[in-house]
Amino acid sequence: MKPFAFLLLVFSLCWLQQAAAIVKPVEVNSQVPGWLARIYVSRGGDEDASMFCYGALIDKRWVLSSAGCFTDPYRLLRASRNSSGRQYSVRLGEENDRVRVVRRYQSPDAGMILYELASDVDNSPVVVSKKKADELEGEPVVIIGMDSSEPLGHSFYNPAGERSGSCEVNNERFYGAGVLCYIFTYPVRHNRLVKTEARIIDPSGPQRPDSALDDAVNIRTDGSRIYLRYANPDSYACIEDMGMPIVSVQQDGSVALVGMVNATGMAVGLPLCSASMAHWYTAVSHYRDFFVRAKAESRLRAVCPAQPRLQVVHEDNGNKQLHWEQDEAAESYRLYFAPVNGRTDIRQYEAGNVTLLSVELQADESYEVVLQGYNSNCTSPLSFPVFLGGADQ
Amino acid sequence: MSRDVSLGLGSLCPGMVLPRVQYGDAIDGRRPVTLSWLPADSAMGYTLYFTSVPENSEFVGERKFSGDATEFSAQLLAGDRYLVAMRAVSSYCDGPLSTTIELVAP
Repeated sequence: MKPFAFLLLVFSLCWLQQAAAIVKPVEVNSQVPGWLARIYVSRGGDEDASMFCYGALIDKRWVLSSAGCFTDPYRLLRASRNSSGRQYSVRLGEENDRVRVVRRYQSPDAGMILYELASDVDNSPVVVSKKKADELEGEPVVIIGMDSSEPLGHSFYNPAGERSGSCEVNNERFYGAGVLCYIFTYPVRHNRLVKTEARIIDPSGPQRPDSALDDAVNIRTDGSRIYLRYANPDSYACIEDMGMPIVSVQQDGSVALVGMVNATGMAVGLPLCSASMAHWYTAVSHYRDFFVRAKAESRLRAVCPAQPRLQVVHEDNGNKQLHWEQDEAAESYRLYFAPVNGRTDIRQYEAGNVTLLSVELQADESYEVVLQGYNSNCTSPLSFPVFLGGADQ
Repeated sequence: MSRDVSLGLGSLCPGMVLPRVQYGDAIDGRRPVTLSWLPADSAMGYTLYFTSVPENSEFVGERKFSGDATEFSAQLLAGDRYLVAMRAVSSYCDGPLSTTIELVAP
């Protein structure tokens, strides 16, 4: 195909295929399971958090999700170029409060992600199936996610933010900096459960997907990949479905997590949505050893407090408020501070187990401050410094 | 406000230790393993943390070394699997935890 024709095809697909979570689901509005996770990223403040992936609670403080979400089709992650500044959180089940993520673990083959939550949750985790990919062939499964029953709540979101232009979908006008119009439901409140039925198939059998692209992006062939045929032939997964759990329903009605929608609908770096696009589904049993290892690593890291993140959350002339997140391993916190222009005079302040501290500075005072968490065994590394100045500084 | 200075205390905290692992030949079902590391600036000692990797273990052990230590040797038995990590310690503050290393017997 000539390059121009190919580009025309790509842009036509972008224009015509507006995204919706799992196309043609078989059931909506049933109860949202408490283990279904929606994963959010923010660059700092809690209010700017955007959902970018699904996942499943597999233990009291562990959420499994797909690495495919980090292909960042909606530029949510790229907006924060410094990955250390990103903060992740997880919403479980219905519209519950989000739980902070303290650490993210990537499987050695870069196929799956585990999010470690800041604390145990009360929600019951889903059971992870031990069946390997080839043992799952023939098994009926259900893909579970959330869709929105509300209209898109704003008129400006376009993930291709660096492009100029605007577009209109369903009588709603979308402005962006771009000519590429692709509407997705992530920033919108998700409040309906969506289920789609499928069957895991033998990839070498007659039901093998006939999409050429499916093979072209066959990233994992080491036993982690499963292939699906949807019960509804018009169904397919879209890129915003990444991380959706694939479960098998047991005879007693309980479910077991057998797989996950890992990556879908991406071609030449553009988010697309089509039955013929790449679909990468993963058998989660392949990663059971990774779960065990990640938990072991977590045990090692929990002995001593991690490096705290010290923030100035409020400034009003000489009054400053410092804040940091509580680390379970920290029994107490200590601040070291020194005048910016005379730092031989280093002093310390025992903050106890508070996580918010008000400081009153004289107009001519300015300090460099670092924070340290500690317990009877060990200390954290020092935080990165913050600079506090009085009204004249 | 000038921000071209950083707190002097920060330089008193040790940096990250980078342990390396080396296995010897297994003899009678025992496999010798040696962890070695370069001295970290400002370190007054080192702590090695270890945990076995079965699914339901919660145990974390630790072993402390003096500031001049740069290696540690042990014997692994068949089936042993441990995750270990180190940190350098000083009187003011400890360094960050190293990357974790998996030790596996044959």
